[in-house]
Amino acid sequence: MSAPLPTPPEPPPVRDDEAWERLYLERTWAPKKGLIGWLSEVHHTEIGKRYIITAFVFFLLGGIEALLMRWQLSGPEKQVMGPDLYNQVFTMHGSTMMFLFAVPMMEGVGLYLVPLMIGTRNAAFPRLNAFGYWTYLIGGLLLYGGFLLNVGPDAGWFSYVPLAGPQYSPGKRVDIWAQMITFTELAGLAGAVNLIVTVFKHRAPGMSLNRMPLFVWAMLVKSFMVVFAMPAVMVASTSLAMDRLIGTHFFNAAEGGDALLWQHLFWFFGHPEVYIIFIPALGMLSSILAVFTRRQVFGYLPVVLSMVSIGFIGFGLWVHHMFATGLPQLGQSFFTAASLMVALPSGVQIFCWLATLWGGRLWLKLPLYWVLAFFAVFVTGGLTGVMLGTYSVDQQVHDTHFVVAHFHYVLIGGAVFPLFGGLYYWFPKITGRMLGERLGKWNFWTFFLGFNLTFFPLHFLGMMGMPRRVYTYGVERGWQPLNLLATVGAVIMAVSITLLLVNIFWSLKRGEVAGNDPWGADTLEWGTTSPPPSYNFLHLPTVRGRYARWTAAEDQPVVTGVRSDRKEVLVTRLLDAAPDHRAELPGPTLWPLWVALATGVMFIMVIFTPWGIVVGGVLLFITLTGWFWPRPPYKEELAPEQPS
Amino acid sequence: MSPPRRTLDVSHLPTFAFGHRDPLWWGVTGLMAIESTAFVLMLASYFYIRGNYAHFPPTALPFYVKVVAAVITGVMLLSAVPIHYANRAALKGRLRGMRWGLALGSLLGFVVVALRIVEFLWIGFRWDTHAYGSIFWFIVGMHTVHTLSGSLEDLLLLGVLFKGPVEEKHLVDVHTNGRYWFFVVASWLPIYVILYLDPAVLAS
Repeated sequence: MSAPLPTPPEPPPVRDDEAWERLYLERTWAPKKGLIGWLSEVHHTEIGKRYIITAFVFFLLGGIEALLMRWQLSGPEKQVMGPDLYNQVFTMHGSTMMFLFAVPMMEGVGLYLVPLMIGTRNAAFPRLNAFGYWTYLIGGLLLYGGFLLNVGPDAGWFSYVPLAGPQYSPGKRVDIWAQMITFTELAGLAGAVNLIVTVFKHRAPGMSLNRMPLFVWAMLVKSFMVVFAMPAVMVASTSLAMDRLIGTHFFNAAEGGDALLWQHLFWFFGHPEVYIIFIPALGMLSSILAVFTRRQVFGYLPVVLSMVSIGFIGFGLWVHHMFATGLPQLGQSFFTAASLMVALPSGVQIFCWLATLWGGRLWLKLPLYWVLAFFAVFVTGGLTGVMLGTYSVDQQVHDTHFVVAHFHYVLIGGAVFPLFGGLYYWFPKITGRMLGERLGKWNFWTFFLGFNLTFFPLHFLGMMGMPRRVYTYGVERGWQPLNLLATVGAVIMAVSITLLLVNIFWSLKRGEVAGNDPWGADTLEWGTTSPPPSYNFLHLPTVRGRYARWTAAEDQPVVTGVRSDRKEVLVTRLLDAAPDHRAELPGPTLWPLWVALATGVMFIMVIFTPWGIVVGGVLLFITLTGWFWPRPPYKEELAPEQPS
Repeated sequence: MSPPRRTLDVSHLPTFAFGHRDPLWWGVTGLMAIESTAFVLMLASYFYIRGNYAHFPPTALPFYVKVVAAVITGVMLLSAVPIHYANRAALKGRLRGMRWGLALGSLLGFVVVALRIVEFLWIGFRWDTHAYGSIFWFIVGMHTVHTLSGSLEDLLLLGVLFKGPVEEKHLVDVHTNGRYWFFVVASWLPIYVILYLDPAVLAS
């Protein structure tokens, strides 16, 4: 609090005066200034933006790695890279795209949008948000720092033992991978808990669970999946690190350990991971569909139930990644059936969306382009998924480029296409300006063309027997024409992403000014300014239907009585979102950064010495004490008994 | 200036709430879900590794280690009593009760950690002896970290309660902290049963 405030009239519990209200909110929620202010930021829009931008930078890096691989594979016996560097590059590509791009990107979008969509002023745990971001950033920097120093991991994005174990991967490469996993998963878990509690406890009055936007449902399901999936990979990566650093034998068959245990733990996380990436995209898609067909999404209930059931089924089919490890016959049948079962809710959803399109009046703007392309690409990937989920087919094409084609169709088709649609859709909200339409169409068509040109040929290469992860191949194989085609496609995709970048930077400066609601959209984030102010809403909104802004009454009430001279928010009840109490959220602080750095010291130091646990533990205790130490008290909120 | 509009006034609502009305309660529940999942997966790994041994366990647990583990379980359960007392005091805002409860609770927590060190000194195998040793130390070690951090948390809250001023929401913090301690105690029970009361381990 710097400059003195004009003395207000004695704080009335209900402030009707909008100018006063705005003045107070701006003063109360203003971020701190300068570098310290930047480092101590805890507001969800700012943290969300940082997640999105950082994840996008990693997406570009992962894309460059992909281009390098396609260059190497564009012809037989090419010498762009040797096998050692190639191993590092494909490991970096997979790890980057999964752990540093896809999951954090979806989480960032969720953290940015969910509090706005449910009509509150910040996430439930603002400092945890900041901590999550810093931890993620440290993990990403560790991975790329290692890569630059030629200790980039090289055992593949799932680091199978025994290859990744101490015997076959000496040195520090896999340790860096394992610790990067621990960092990013910690960040993922922090974000997930934050989203769950924000959704459960901070929804605008009236937004009962059955009126939540589909996007919020998607983020909720995703967050629950994170909570139950990511501990698996943390247990796995910790065990692997201990095998490598202090001589444990979790995966050492000679001493009673088991290499397959790694695969079980990894895929118990790894398969749900796919849905953790995919389900938020379904949320984006549903938001876009409703707005650009100008109608409610067909079958709200089946769509929500499908998302929830995908969330459950997603945990029951990890073994289909292990079909080639020799399973008992019952296991083969069970996991084949489970894998095929996930096609049922997916199909229900697809048909609900098709029905939405069928019954709506299409407003063909760029966000909808990406969604329509999603249907084509994702369904193709889903069909090969049904093939691969079948034990007998999987035996034939396991570890070939057929699998590479499949998962790029489902992941890029299922997640990146809706994500780019979401980018075109929400960019005006985040920045206040529209993305250019003309350049946007070029971006879309080149990406669509480039994508199919890159990945469709890989199906055939896989069936011709080309394995994944080979750094080159002989002339006599006859794989060159299709590989060259795929490389040409990759270059077109690179051009497309360049166009997108140009569009973004151009639009940030010159784009058409968006206004609050350029699309006539239904969700609450469009009810505030673009970009939203640091307090999100001048008046906290109330809701009386599923499509909050479309169903709002002429004189829809707003919430009053939440203090604007403190960072107070309304806490509502879980099921019906009736007002329950008011709670104060913490403001900007450096402690999350210190705690993240202490965590960083611990996880990075243990790569070199077990003393890292002790040093990091002490640092963590000190910094956490600082984090939890209470701020100066308010007189009227004191407990009845005080220390004398 | 917009015309006066209908409002939903919430100024009469309280500024804190106990139990599942409180967002932090849900946050800690999320933490418990995460940690339970981790413990369940570690125990699943234990069974996976157990299946690799024709003769299990590869190293017998010494008799006095079994006794220490039983004592630890007893002390663990006992520690829930003062914490329960602290929780009830928190609901009523009674400072004395919270202080005594937390002090005794953390003391018992530290007793558990001390006994654990004795157990590890006597146990006769290390994490790098064999895979059984690895998973055993991993599970028990992780739980000890929880016990230690829970006891330190008690101390931190005690600091606030002695230094003051105590706000209403600190009462909620004490209550939430107590609930987390119950989780630490409860998660020990399946670990104890599986790791120490396994007939093969008992007979060894």
